[in-house]
Amino acid sequence: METIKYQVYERIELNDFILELISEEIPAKMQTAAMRQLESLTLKKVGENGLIVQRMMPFVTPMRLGIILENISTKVNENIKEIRGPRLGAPEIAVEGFLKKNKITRSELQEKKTEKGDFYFYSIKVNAQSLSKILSRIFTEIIQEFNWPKSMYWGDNYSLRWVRPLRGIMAVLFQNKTRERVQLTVRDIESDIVTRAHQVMHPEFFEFESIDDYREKMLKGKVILQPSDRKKRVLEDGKKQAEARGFYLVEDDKLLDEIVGLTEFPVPILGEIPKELLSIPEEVIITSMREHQKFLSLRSNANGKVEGFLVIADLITYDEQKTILYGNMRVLNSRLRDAIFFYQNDLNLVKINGMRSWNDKLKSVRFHEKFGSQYDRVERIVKIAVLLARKFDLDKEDVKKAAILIKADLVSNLVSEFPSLQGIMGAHYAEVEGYEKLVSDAIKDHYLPVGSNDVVPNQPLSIVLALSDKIDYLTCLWKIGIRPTGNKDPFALRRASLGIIRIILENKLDVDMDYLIHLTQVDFDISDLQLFLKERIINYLTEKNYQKKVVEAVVKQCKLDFLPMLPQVIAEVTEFISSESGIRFLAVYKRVSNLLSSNKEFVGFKKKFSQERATEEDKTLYKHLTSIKEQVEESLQDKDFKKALLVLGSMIDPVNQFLDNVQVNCKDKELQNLRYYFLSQISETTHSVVVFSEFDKK
Amino acid sequence: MQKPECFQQIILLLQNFWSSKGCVILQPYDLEVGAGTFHPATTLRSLGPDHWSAAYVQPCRRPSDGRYGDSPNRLQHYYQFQVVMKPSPSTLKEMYLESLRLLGIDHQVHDIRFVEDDWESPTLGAWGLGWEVWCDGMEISQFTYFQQVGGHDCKPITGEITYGLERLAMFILECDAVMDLPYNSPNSQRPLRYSDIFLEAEKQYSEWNFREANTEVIFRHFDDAEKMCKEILEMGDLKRKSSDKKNKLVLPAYDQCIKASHLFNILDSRGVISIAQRQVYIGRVRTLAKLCADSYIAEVSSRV
Repeated sequence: METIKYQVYERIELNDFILELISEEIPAKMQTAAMRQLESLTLKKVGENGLIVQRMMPFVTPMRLGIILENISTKVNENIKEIRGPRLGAPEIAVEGFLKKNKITRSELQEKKTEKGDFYFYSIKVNAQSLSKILSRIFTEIIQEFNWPKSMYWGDNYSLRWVRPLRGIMAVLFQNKTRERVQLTVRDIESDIVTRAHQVMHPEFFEFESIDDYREKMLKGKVILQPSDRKKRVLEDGKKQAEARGFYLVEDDKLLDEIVGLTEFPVPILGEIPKELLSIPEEVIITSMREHQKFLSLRSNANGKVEGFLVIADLITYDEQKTILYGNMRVLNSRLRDAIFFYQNDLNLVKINGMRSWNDKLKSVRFHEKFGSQYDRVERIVKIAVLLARKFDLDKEDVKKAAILIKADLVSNLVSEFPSLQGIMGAHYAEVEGYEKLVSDAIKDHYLPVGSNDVVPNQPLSIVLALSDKIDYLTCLWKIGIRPTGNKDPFALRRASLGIIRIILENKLDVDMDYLIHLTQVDFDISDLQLFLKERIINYLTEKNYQKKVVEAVVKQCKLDFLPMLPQVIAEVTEFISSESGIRFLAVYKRVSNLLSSNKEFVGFKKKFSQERATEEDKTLYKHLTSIKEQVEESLQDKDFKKALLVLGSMIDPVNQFLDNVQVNCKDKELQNLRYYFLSQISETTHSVVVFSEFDKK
Repeated sequence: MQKPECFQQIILLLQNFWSSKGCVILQPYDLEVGAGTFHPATTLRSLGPDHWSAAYVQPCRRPSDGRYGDSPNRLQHYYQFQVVMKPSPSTLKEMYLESLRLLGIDHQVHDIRFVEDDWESPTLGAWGLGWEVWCDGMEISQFTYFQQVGGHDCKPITGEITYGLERLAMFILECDAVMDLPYNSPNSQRPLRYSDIFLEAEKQYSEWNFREANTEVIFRHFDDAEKMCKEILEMGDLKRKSSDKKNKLVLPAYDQCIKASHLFNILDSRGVISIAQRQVYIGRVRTLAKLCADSYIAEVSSRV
């Protein structure tokens, strides 16, 4: 008797699997990323294990992170063990004995030819790894490998870190209408076959017959699995209620994302703000409701003002959420009363002493330990703004008047309470004090742009203050060695630089970076700051859909004072390289740089031109090159890029003729040196306009 | 279950409830602290391997939050109800919700939410993960799983629940101003409100904390407390050398750390600590907390 091992592939179809990792409340802001991580880890492991999944649906709520796999098909390696029985034609008693020994019937016997003759065989499957086992392994690994941005231990078991205590695992496999618990053991938790829906509204455990049945029972049990579906419910139901009561919703996607991360079944409840609490600027009301209570704001159809809100509960109650609304109204009341109190204090002070009296207090607000207080910062900004005012035909005194106020509101009562209202309150108080609208707008808009979708300021005064504020910020922090690294930019230096770039380009200003830096009277080496700014410029223009190669070719060689014209220059270069002469020029450039790269020792090689050995061709080319170099320098001086490109174009014929008629690598070493010198001159002159080598990069 | 009718009943209900869940009911620590966490029953007991469950009321002092008794919800002296269980039981959250039901907050009608709020105490060198608990939009508790205290990993993990008693009472008793809270039963022979007991204290202490406190003396007290704390811990070292069995005097040393922390809070509310100095002072208190934690851990592990 002997055994032979080999493998067969069996295809099982129509299996569904579901996993729920049930925990205490997962922080709202981590949920979506966790769902994506679970999806990508599953995708990876499923592939590695030879499974094919037709549909994969990850989901997340505050209480559970999970995934549904539908129609899993699998190629499972199976070991088949073959047991050889008696020879064909052996006595019946031997066959019977074999059957008896292996506890099989005659029909299970196979006949097979071998080298030694024909035998009866019996084969059994061994070690077949079931789908259930594979899933068990995959998801045990995933749980162990899962990476939360912040995780913890709990109790007295330290074998797993999770975002908050993991309380249960539900893992069920449906296979040909049978239901099976997939064994998962993590920490001290054993997987279960049952689960629960909403913890308050339907806390009972339930079983389910299929994935569809699970989905149905979850929804009936008041759990909406997908964040996007919860969002939809808030919007649909919220808008319906708002409409019925004469309101419309103030869109706030970020808040909405947070709200659906705090609810398994969001229930919008509409409330109206008591009239007596509406006596403060609406931004204060919106901010207070948003930051303290996570309310969505509603505007009245009648007058467009914020007079209502939606509070999103996670519960439907027998009193139609009246108790919940009542409690929330009480909190709103006390919050807005606080805000009104702060606002009145601020107003009194502004009316009696004026906003400028706040500047003294700025002395005790630290900007950075090495750069003193916000007061010092305002002084610097005023200086820069006054200098910058010249470029905009603004009156020096007007600029000074506005600049001195831009940070005053930081010490107001309301901004201390709601830092996100900086600028907005300043503008409001400036108006109350009687400053003209240009001034109050500038106070508000000098913070812009913050997000990449924000508009940039476009009034001259606002522009001057915004640029002065940002360039001061950037150079101060740069000076003391603060740099963004990788993804980390805690001081938002990239944002400040991008703000400057956008303000200049989107307003088509004739202001350049070097000039701005110069205004701050920096006293340190700014070369790496310039490099950083160039990177930001390249980044910004590339995102604006300019061709990356062109952007890099242009920006890398140009000085920062070219910034205002960059879009135009890039357009011109783009046009040039696709024009006939551009294409021909590129060909010449390539010819030259190939020669140069084949003989690296000559690159950058400097040699005085001597007439002695030069041929007529050499002399002609030299004449051309000298004149072209002069013309290029002249056009760049005039910032006339188009002309510079034209001049480059005029090199084509002379250079081609030269290369056609002489041998660069000639035997005469002197002459060879000279010719390489010409080539490096051609390359250098070209690069002073555009770094054409960028076009060769992949 | 009937709703409680006054402040003191809420405290009694909580004490009975957590007692029934296996907590020892302690009394407040007899030093000024900024939060119930400072009580050695939380800070020190959360270190080391021993199991421990306790609940207690702790008066808290936050000098800069004083408003002369004028604010509807800000006080320089208020009460916390603190629960610590180590190792944190798997049913801690359920127990907490049960305690709310007992106070008349029924989860079937009230929207109770756990909103991410990680806890960090720079002066204690401690942090944990958890939530603030919202009830119909009002924050009524903090719920934290300690991860580190005094720079040491917590093993086992302590689960901590802190009820803000005044806020909770204002919610349950539907009071809009803290001073209006009924302190004892409105049906008792002599019903008292919160203001009857604490209004005068709020006024006097606000005056003291903001205007009158002699900062020169307090600066000195701070230095003294710091010095004493370190000396006590070093003294333990000396004793240990002479007679090996003598324990380090961690608890008296920790008292000095608590004192330093409170003295710093008064100086801060008096506005005499510049922003730059602030970090330095916080760092000095943290150093003391860490030294105490180090000694405590050394002590606990030597006991085994």
